Amino acid sequence: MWKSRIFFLIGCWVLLFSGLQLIPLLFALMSQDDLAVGGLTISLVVSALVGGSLFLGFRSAEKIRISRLTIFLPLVGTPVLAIVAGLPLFILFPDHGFMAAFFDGMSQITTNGSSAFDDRIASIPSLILWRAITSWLGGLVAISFSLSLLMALNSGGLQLHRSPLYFGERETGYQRLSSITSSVLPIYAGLTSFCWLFLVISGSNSFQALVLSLSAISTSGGVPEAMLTGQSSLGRIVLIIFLLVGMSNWDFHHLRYRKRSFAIKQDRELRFTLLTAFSASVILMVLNTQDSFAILDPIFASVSALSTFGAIPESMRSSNGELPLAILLMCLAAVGGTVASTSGGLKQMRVFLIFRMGKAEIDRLGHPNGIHTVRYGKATAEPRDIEAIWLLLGAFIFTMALGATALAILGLSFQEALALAFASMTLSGPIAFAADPAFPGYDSLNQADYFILSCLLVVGRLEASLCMALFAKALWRG
Amino acid sequence: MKVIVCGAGQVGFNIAQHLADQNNDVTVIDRSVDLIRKISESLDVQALVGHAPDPDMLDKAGASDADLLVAVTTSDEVNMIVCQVAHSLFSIPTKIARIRNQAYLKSNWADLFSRDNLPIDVVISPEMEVAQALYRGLEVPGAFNVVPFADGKVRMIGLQLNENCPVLDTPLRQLSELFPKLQTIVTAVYRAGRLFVPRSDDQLQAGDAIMIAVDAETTERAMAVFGHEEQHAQRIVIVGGGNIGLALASILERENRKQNVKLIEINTVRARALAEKLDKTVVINGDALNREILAEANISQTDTIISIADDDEVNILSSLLAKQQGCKRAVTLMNNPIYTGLVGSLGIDVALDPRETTVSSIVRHIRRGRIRDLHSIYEGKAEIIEAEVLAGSEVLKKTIGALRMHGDVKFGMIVRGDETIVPTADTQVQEGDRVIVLAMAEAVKTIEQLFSARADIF
Repeated sequence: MWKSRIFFLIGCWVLLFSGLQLIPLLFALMSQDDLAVGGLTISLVVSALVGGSLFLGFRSAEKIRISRLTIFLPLVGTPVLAIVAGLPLFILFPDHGFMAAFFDGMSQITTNGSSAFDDRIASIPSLILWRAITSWLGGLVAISFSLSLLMALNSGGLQLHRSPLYFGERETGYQRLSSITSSVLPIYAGLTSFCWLFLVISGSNSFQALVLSLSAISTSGGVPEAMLTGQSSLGRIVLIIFLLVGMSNWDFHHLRYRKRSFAIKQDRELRFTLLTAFSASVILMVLNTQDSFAILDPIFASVSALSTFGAIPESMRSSNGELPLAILLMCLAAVGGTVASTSGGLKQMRVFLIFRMGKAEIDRLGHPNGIHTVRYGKATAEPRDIEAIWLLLGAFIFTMALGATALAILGLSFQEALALAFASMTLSGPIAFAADPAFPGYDSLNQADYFILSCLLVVGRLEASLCMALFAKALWRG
Repeated sequence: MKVIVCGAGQVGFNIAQHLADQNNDVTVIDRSVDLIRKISESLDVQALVGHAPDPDMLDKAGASDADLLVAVTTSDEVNMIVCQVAHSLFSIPTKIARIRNQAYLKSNWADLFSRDNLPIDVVISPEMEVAQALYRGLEVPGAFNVVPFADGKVRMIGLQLNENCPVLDTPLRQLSELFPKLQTIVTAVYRAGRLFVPRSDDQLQAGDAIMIAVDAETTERAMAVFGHEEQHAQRIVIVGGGNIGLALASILERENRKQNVKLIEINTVRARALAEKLDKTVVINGDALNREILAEANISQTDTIISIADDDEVNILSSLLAKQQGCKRAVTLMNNPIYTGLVGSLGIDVALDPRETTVSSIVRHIRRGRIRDLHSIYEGKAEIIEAEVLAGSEVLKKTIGALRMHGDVKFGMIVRGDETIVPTADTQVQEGDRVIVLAMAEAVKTIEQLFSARADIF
């Protein structure tokens, strides 16, 4: 029964993605790009047929809510959507292989931002737009998944995050998922529009502003580098602000909108985020050995790394070979943004709790009979929350090590393998260039590499501990 | 005055005792047969077994002609209902209820206890007040009692004199000559089990416990004059994590974040609950009579141990163990007055009797006249009163000497606007003055009359 429900829900999502392809298709028609029109039309028809078949075939599936469905829905749905997102690229560039297109689609919907087709699509604006749209939608799905499915499973102690959103009351179906999506969507779209408007005011053309705003809000760094380097100072400031917005808790954005107040006090993660970004910017300014001192570059680099946008300014990257700089940027990407955001990484709340748990252990040495609780705001971490956080951290490190080892076995250098595994797990694709200055680019990888990286992307977005549930015997029984 | 006390626990017993001693007609209601038997055998009160909110029971207790109802059962909710029933069915004019759960007392729910909602005239929280009294004691190291008056401008401080006191065997009138800028006055002396108001030619002796009224800003200097130059406690261990322990630890966290506070609680579940509520305090789960637990609390380096568990014996023994291991000062809560006499000889520095605080908190709300604040000391032998001088009051424009109240009353301090005045026999009391007076029990009524406005001025 639950399998039928999965097919139905996935059918709905595929249909949605199929419909969205109309936007780049119309854009391609207007710009008379025949190549893109052909690719997008075929992709649209194929995905509409598949999605429509699934929708019609399983529309009578009963609305249920069981943990197996909760686990399998994102695990199956994400790769299917990645196939749909990458389909136009596969149709247009079949010589690069299916896995490259699949990786590209996965990279967009997980907001990783890396691309196996960077050079090939640089002159096809409709495909750049399509990738930005899928990233933007992937960001929205990530927020909704975090606040509904992952929170219901208490993935990595997510239940310690007290969301101010209304979750719905029905016991059947996934009302929480739809309730959260409908609450967040207007604000998500509204802030994207603001970002676009400010970027246009700062001097970008409409198309560039649109792609940049979609990418900034979804913290997906998948934009052509020329668009970033060509930004004015004002444009960069706009991007920094909206990257901060993107990596903040969207349920609290909703609260701010509803109450018409900044409400920073309740949002502890935002305070940590701002503090981390500020501290990192100062350190980057100190570490920056460039002769030409540009104050915006360190700030942009720290915010970009922290939000897992991943794009690092040339001036910060050109001091490559300096280990402290690369390590700091990787640390920031490992921390990531907030739990109900579009960013990747471990997330601010968990890093804070890991710090508190470590402190509690040290305190225990001094006071063996002391009661050392770990608190996050007004909530006290229960043993099951602490276990969930340790499980997530352990699974994150283990999966990354496994992925890096597999990539190294397949022929990549160890540094390259580690950089790619890290960038994929933290969903900060472009940061691989800062982590390994010798990395030639994502289009240089082979099909097996793309497959491994795609798996790591799924684990990074859906959180390692959720994927670990697949190894639980109880899940497969009955 | 007819008074109904609901609840015959420790607080109810003490209130009933105090009010009965003041010749009030007191009726006590409690569900416990044992408590009612105990109270009826010990005090001159009417004691009834029953459920206090029951209208029949209140009627039987004489609620229809009662002037005051004090609800101090163990349940906050029962106390609230008793007041509601007393208001709705019997129109008792003054209703006092004990509310322990601080959630009810948050400022954003202040309207809860209004006449239109829950008609409670005065809400008391004895545990909170005991915790505040303990904190005030920590603010003035060396004092065994500190009571603020006139919005904190004046303090009434109780302190023990030892051989190091530089003003022993000195007539009190010479204090102002020796220390002309010292804004303080000795209002009472407790010597050899007798409390009295000292005359100007009386001399202080080692072993005396005295009550001084002092301008809050000169507290440190005044304490030094009487031989107390102890440092503020930076390392504090609290024994007992009940409501008082939690309240005290919370106050310490809020008021002074530099202090190192440890709290020892024997009950594991309670210790966990405390750890969740407290930010900076280290909560240790264990028995305070266990040397290892005391060592874990680093008791040898501790400045003050505050033993406030619900067992007097545990409090005394933990204090003594701590002192033996090097703790500098021990403050001990003693519910049973039988132990209070042992304090000096045992080595405990301060014994806090919660009854004084509780009774004071009730009594201050039932006094007539312009009594702004009141504190009962030495089991009701004397009261420290803060009164405001009204336009029609008898005391207005008279010099203190002219009042001829030697022996039973001592004027401690007068607050006039922002100024604090040490009163002399020639000081004239003016309208609007806030006068802090220590009065022996037998003189309390006279003080009330002196500060009451005459009816003809209205």
